[in-house]
Amino acid sequence: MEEAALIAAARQGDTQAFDQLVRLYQSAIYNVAYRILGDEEAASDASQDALLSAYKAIGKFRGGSFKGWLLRIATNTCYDQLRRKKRQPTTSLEASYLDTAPPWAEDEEPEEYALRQELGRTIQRGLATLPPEQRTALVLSDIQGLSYQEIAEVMGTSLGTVKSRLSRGRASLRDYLLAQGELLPPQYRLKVEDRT
Amino acid sequence: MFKRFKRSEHERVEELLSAYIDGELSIKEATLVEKHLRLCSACTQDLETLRQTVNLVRQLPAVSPPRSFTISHLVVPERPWAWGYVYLRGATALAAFLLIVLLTGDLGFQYLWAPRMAAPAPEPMALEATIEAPEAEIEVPVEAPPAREALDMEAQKVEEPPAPPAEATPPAERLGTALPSPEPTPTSELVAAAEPPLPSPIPEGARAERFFALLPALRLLEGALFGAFLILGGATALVKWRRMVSRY
Repeated sequence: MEEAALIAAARQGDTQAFDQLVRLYQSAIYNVAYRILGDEEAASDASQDALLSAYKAIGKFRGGSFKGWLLRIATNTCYDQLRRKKRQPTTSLEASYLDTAPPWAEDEEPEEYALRQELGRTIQRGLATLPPEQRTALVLSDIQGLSYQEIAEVMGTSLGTVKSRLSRGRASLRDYLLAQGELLPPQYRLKVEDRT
Repeated sequence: MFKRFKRSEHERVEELLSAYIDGELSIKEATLVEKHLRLCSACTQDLETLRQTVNLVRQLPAVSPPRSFTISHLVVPERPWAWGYVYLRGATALAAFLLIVLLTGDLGFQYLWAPRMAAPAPEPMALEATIEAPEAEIEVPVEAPPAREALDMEAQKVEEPPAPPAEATPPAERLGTALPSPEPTPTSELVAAAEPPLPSPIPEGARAERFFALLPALRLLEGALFGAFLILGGATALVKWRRMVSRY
């Protein structure tokens, strides 16, 4: 069944049709939630909450990109979780990033896998230092591969704001990775030419 | 050493480098960046490290969700009688409300309004007494026999005509309301002369009469509403129970 037909069926209360839509987009939603929240369990909860909210609000979907609409709900759910975490000082966002080892593709050499895992952790820690809006813009652009226009729609903001958030987010992450220097595997270190 | 540029242009190009990597700049902005890059090694280096950063992030492989996030097991399906339940509940509440309003009115009349109206009852009774008393006084005084006979005859006349209307309207009597006699009698003229005119109790009596006439219909309506309330309430409870059973 086509996406439009599935959406129409889901509007009529067909949960099976909505489940088919979930299977199409759950990976994208979970990945965005995981990169924003940096924690597997929190990302799972946020993904489930977001998809349930999407089902309840599907009557409000006014066309356009369904994936973009779902991602918008997912990012808002993630922001809610971050706000809740902020209100609970016992659980540190930084700590959750440090404890989490992102899963990787299994068709890799163990050594390569370990190195990439280390890189992943470092990038994840770098992402955690960014303000949520910059982090979201970076994740949507460089991990999900969305265009600036799509990011603007997901974040409900202007193209100019997207450019600005992305520029600042990338610059901050670059500075973080440069500061890590020797901690990164050699092949992943940023190469800085002598400026003199 | 870096060549000095206007700070504003350098900062502006620094901000544009990210969008330049993505090819999201206008031709004018891209031209400005390229022109600046040819002369600014700091920005050239920034562009390079920014590209490396973006490439590293893009290399991150997608993570697999630990489970499926389908929602059908979380959603309670809407039953066809779901709306019926809402209507049933509303109808039950409406029946209960109307019943309360009617019962309040009914009881209010019986225990508040009716006793208040019954209170002035002694007044007409006293009136009757006063009507009889003067008669007695009139009969006793020393007067010429012909005049007494004439009075007796008049009294007979008086007694006969007012009797039927007084019997024909028992509710009025019960409430102590005195209906005016169709023909004024000498005794009543005497009483009228002896006492000030009484305020007419007819409007309240008429209202009471009207209410008493409506009472059987009101009781019937109350009964019907009570029955409707029981049926609707029972149906609502049954539907609610079915909903709970189907949920768990």
